[in-house]
Amino acid sequence: MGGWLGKILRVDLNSGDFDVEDLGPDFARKYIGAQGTASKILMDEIDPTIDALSPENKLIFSTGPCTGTGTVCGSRAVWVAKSPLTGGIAFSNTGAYFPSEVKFAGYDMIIVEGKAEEPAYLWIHNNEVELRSARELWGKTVSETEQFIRAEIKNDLVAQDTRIACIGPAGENLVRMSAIMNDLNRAAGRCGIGAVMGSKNLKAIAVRGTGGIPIAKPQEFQAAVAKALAEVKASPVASQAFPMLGSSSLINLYNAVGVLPHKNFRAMNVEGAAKISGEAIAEGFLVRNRGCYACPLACGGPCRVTNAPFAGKGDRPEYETNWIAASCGIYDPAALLKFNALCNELGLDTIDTGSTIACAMELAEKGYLPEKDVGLALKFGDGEALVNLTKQIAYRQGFGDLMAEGGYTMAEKYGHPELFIHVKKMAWTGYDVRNVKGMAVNMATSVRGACHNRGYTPAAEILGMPVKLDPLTIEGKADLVKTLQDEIAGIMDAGGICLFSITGQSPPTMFEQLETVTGLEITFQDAAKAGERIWNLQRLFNLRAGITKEQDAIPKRFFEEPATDGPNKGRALDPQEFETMLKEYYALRGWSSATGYPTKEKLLELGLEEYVSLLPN
Amino acid sequence: MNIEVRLFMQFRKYLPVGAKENKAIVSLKEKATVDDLLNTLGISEKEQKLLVINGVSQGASGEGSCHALKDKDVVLIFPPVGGG
Repeated sequence: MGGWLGKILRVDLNSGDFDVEDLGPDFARKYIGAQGTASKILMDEIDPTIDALSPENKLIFSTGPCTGTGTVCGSRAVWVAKSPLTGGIAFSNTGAYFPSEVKFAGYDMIIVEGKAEEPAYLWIHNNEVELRSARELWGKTVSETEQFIRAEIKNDLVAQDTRIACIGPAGENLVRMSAIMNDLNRAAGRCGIGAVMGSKNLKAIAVRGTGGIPIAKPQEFQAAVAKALAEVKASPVASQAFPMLGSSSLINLYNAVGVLPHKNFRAMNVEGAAKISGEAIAEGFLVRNRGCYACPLACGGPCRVTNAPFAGKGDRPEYETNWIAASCGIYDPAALLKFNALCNELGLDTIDTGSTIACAMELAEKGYLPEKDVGLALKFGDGEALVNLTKQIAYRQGFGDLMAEGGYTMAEKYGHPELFIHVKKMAWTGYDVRNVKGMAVNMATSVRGACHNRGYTPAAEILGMPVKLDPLTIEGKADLVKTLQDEIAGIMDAGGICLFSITGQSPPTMFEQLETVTGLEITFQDAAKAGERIWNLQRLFNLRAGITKEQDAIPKRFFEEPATDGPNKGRALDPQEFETMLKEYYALRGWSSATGYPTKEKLLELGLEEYVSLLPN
Repeated sequence: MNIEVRLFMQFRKYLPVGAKENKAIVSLKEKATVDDLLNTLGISEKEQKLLVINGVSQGASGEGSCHALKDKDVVLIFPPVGGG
């Protein structure tokens, strides 16, 4: 078979020893790769009830069979662990070049166990694996860490081509919304994955690999890649909107249709949004665009701000960072770019960091959060406060120490947890769901906490891809959510293909690349079934960790506070409609409405018989 | 009747003279459709677009072009976009 190298690098930080294990073909066939294979290992090797920041947690870096093979947009991999933010399973995806380099070095996965006695970083150069001291690196920012590690590599050519993933001060300080960064500005941002790395005293993994990746059916694969590239070229979204405006091409559209959240989800349509849109960033600040490995979309790129007070360099923010500015009521592109650059440099998730600050702004506005606690008169629209609080969170200074525990913990301390907009204690992403009904179910059932990624119903409900559905109806939405969640989990996420590429290449074309890379003799439906298997496995982990079906819930705000402006003014989500969709979703999933667990029949159907004994009586 | 139009990205080149930022008011005959509006602006049928009429997205396959307009309607014209 191809795509996989068949090797897992297992590193024990307690002893500094490492082993190389085989990744069996049956295991890969059943779980495909990336978060599929990693979730299975996490489920089988750790007790889901442990403290996520204890040495018992394991940090798994996992690539997919398509990663690094030349599959169109096959640049992705995932970090998996128990989450210190939600208490459930953490998985956080990333792209750029580090994931492919791990495969060139000869490994599909890296499993990190235990805790190093002193700060350390892992150096991997093909077969050479070494745990090096990071004493001098501790406290350094992401770019300083990259520089330092490159300087330690004696051979200049190797140094130049080395790819680095690391934490910033936020991960070291066990901030529960800290990220693992790679290639300077790509973030595995969500679930507080950076704090897991920090808790292990692991500062970075630096990799240089010079090996190849076998392709099972090279000629067929080449044809599948050509087909994918033709599809991307024919798509105006993938070939024009993404390179020009990045993922934030959506800001103006979503603002226009009343979906862009402003002021902590209390406004939906604000004229100022144009100033923080993809257009505004591209025209005013973008130096050039840049892509990840094997990516023709090239949605990233360096940005520059020349004027005080936010002058500096950074990267083009994603939609999921742009909307944070609106949620804080800040319509200043320079403040947005500074916030994004700081989060990347200090190693923070922009979504949870910004949403915690937006929640604090609302707490302060309503008089629940005293000025003396924060140290300043916090109000919506204050760009300086956004930037300063971001630093305080990363370094756990002043009020930042409480914020670093997560937005939910902060809001709860002041008696108003309902003002933190979240699912399973992870901040909600940039979608007002009062009037995008499918998305409400996707958010509620997202296994890692509030997340738009897998069941992205706005593609159909707003963008009309592949067909236009009415966002205000509920018929068929539960089915749409489940189908998207399974297909994306099994083919894109597990395969190692970037989600954005779905705007160009179709899922069957992605599957064709996955199939010809691996030589797995499976159908598209088999791959989607693997996605369902992964979804259920992750669900089981959460249930065992104590996350109950009651947490398949969304904030009351969407039901109780109708939209205040925009085209949907006066409308709110109907709780009955939401319950109907959720019930339908459980039925489609084969989950018990009483316990939230998958039924025995469902586990057997998915080949998860080894977990039947975990089901409640 | 008067229709407010807002053009985005590459469609801004079709803004009538005197338009402010990306907005313009276009006068059309009664019972005009979105197609008539596009013709008036000089936007070809062949160009892929995503229309938002009074805050409702019509999708990226050119839906909404037969939509009958009324006075003070607001029509936004985007190229197809994506992200998330």
